[in-house]
Amino acid sequence: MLNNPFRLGRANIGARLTACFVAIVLSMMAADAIAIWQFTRTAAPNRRLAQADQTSLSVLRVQLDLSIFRESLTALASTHGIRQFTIEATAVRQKFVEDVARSAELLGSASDTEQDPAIRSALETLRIMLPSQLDTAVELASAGDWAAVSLRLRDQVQDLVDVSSLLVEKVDREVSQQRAAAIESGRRAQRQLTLVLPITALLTLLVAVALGWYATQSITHPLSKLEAAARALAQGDFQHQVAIRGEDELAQLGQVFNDTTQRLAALYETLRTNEARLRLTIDTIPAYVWSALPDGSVDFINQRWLEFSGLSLEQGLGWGWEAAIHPEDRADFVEKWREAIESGKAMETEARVRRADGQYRWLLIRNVPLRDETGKIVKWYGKSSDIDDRKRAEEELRAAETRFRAFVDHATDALFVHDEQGLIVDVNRRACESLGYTREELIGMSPFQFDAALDEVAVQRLVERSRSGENVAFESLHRRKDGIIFPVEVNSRSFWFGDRRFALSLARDITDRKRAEEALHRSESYLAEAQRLSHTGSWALNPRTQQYSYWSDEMHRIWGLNPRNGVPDFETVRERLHPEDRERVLESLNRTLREEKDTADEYRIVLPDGAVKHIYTRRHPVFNSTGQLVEYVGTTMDVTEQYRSRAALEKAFEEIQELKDQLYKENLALREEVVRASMFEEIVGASKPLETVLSQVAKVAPTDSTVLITGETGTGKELIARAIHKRSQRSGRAFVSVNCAALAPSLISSELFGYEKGAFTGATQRHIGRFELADGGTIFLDEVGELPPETQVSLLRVLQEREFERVGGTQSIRVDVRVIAATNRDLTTAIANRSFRQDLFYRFNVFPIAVPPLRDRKEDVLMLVEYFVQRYAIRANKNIRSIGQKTLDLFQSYDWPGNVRELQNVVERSVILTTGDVLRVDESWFSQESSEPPFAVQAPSPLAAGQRQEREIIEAALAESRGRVSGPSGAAARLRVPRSTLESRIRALKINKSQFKFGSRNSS
Amino acid sequence: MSCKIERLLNSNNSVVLRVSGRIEGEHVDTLREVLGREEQGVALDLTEVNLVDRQGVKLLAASEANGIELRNCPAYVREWVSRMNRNANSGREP
Repeated sequence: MLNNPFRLGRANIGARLTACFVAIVLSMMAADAIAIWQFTRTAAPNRRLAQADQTSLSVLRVQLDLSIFRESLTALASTHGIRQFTIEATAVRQKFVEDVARSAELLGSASDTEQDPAIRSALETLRIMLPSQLDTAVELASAGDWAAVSLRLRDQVQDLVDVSSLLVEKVDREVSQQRAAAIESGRRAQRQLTLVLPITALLTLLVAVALGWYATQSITHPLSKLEAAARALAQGDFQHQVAIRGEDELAQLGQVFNDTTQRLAALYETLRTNEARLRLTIDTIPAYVWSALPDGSVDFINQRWLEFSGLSLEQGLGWGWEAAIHPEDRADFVEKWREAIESGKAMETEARVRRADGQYRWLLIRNVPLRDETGKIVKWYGKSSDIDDRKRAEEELRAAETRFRAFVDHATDALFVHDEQGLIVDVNRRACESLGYTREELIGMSPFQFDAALDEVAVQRLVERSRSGENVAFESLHRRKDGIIFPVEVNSRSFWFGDRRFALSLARDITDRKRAEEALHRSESYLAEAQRLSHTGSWALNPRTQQYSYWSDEMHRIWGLNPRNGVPDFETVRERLHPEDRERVLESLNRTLREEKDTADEYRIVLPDGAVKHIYTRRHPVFNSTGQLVEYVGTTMDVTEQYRSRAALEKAFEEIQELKDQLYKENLALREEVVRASMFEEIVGASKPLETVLSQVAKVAPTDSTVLITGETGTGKELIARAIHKRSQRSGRAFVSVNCAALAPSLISSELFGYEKGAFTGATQRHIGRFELADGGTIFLDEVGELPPETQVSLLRVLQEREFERVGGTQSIRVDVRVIAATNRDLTTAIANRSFRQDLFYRFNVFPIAVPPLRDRKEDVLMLVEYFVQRYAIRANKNIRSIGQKTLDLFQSYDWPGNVRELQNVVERSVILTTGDVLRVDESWFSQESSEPPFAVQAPSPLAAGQRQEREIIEAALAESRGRVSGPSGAAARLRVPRSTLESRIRALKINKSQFKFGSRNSS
Repeated sequence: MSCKIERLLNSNNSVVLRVSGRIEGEHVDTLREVLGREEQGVALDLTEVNLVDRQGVKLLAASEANGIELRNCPAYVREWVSRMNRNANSGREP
């Protein structure tokens, strides 16, 4: 169909559409005609049926007319009314004739059906016979023969009625047959109609759709081709051709398109050629060219620019070119470019642009806008020119000018340029600074206006001298604007510049030089004075001639030579050297000259009067810039006085050393004396038990044996330990005391053996243990019975091997320590309780010393009281002369469970409270303490009992003391054990003291 | 005397820090740092504490105020901590 089988494509679109519409209308009309035909066929049977009915009715009416005719005429005949009879007969005859005629007509119209011939003959018989019968009846009636009339009516008319009945029967049969045929025909037509109507409607629709689709396709297909072609053209495909068959408008349009495309392709090719030429031209011209859109984004860059910058086209387009602008110029350039874009005005600026090799070059950049006919900017065109050489030249020129100006301005001398009249035409900055005038003020001035030593005439004279070519130099005085005058040295000379002569004057401020000269003169005076006062002369020696080139005045004075005779020759000096030192000094000098090094000598010289001087000389070689030895300079000091002082000092030192040695010896003797005297310092008493102890101390002290000191608390076990240490060979080293009961159980090891940094949380640095501290000396382990088992093991190793490791450490540390242990516990019981190691006990128990309690040496009480009274009276600044008898009795009678420490405390308390010169004590102090604790007898020492029993004893004591441990009524006193010991056991047994606070355990 | 801090874990996974020795000087900072590393519910066992200085007591008081249990607190430390807490509540400098 698309190939146009009906060749409709040759027609134009309007005709094609009209033809399609006509065809559609015709097909619809044909369908309608078929439908009408079918409807007509459906109506024909009905019509025949109606016709048959009418025929039947007319025949029935004929039969009815006959019946009515016979009845009415018979009735009239009986009346013998001729007239009425005639009228009625006429009327009946007319009606009968009409009905017969209608029936005949109806039967005649049904010609399409086959009729029985008897029907028509019967009807014809009726039509002929009845009128004749009526006529006969009327004639008879008129004749008055009514009987004949009645007879005739009865016999003759009856025959007609029979004919009519036969007629009706036949017609009725005919009609029935026709009706059945009509009904059948109608049904058949109905069926055909229901089939034909949809078929015709569908066919009509198909025809309309087919024609409509064809018409649409014949337009849209070429149009889509044209659209695709237009798109291709829009995308620059100038080779695209459209193939549309036919001769309609679209085909012609396609042809036009193809022609246009070909022309455009030719034009495009021409354009490309021209563009390539233009691009070649743009890329070739010695300039950097680009174009930008109205918003400033670059859309074209010529090749030269890309080659210059090293950027790719993609990198340079848009705003990518910014990267090539020097960072210092970028912001300014972009700002100007944006201003130009906003204002629409041409832009011209200079900026440094990075070249492909990374070097920045100055470019002159110009941008101009291109406007359309409405004045709207459609494009920006830009061009850059390399002005780097010019720029550098300008900069160099500027730098040279600046440099030259800086040279002139930074010249240390004031510079004046005069014209031929002597007037100033230019000055440098130094000239302005030195005179206090501005440059503008100085220009036009004459030198005599600021030169205090010149007048106008003198200036003119100088100008003339300078004009003659003479280099004029003189010293003068310049006056500053503020009036201050300063000395200058002026050098002036004339020169030609073009065709004019000028004079250049340099004025140097010589204030510093003048001051320096004065200072030098003064310095020389100071130096000479210093040399005189320090007896130090200075000299210089020419190494080549080996002659002195300079001698200071002090040198002459030291050597006894007259300065007026000038620098002495070497021989004169040599003669003055002491004969015993001469060779050594000369040899030293020769070595100095040979080795070119600093040297020093001490020697003697002999003056003409025989006086000997001690001399100290230092020599120093001086080299020039090339490293050659130029001369020797040196100092010579008269050290005769120092020599004598040093000799005296050395003698004094010898004496001091002798005294020191003597003092040391005396000190040793005294220390021994002190040690002997204080061997048992603070061990007061003369009782037999104490003497026994002291005797043991004296015997064991010199040895290194381990000592175990036992005794009740307060008996002075540490004093015994100290006494042993002082009497030992280790007395010069440390005595370290450790109360094992006072240390936290978990810290005992770390305290005794030390620990490394980080050994445990809290070990923030390395800690030296007590054993290390006691290295070479003695360690005193008090309350050793309180040591926890794990520490006992460690201690055993130390005692056996004399080495240990710090907690957290891996290195064994050896120590040389003497161990003295002390305890108030019965260690044998503790061993039985397994709270103390037996092997450790034997290690300690090498030399046991049992310190007696005070109650066992009561004869020492008075001595101790006196001793402590004296000590505390001095400390309290009191004068206690005697002790009351009652007090003495109390002291003597008391058992002192706390031993010497308790006695000491009581005495201290008494001294504090005593107001007069007689010491007294309050009896109440002893009332509690002197009475034997009631439970002390019954209750065995808790430390001597088993653990369960120990717990019971301690808890009982705590219950009695309401939880208190310390104090006279505390559990410790009741149990006669040290407070610290009891505390330790309470902790070890995990007894809660607080539960006894309110009197009984259960009360809590 | 040193300070030793041991971290003990109970059967119910609660942490007890057993402090031994002295809580003074730099040990206060160490203990504060160790406490800071622990979650809630930690307890301090002070059974073997011998000495606590003012800063140490302040730390203990603050710890107790923050819900840290002070177990086996020595009596003098207990009294000092309580007094410090009372004064802190009354707004006075302890």
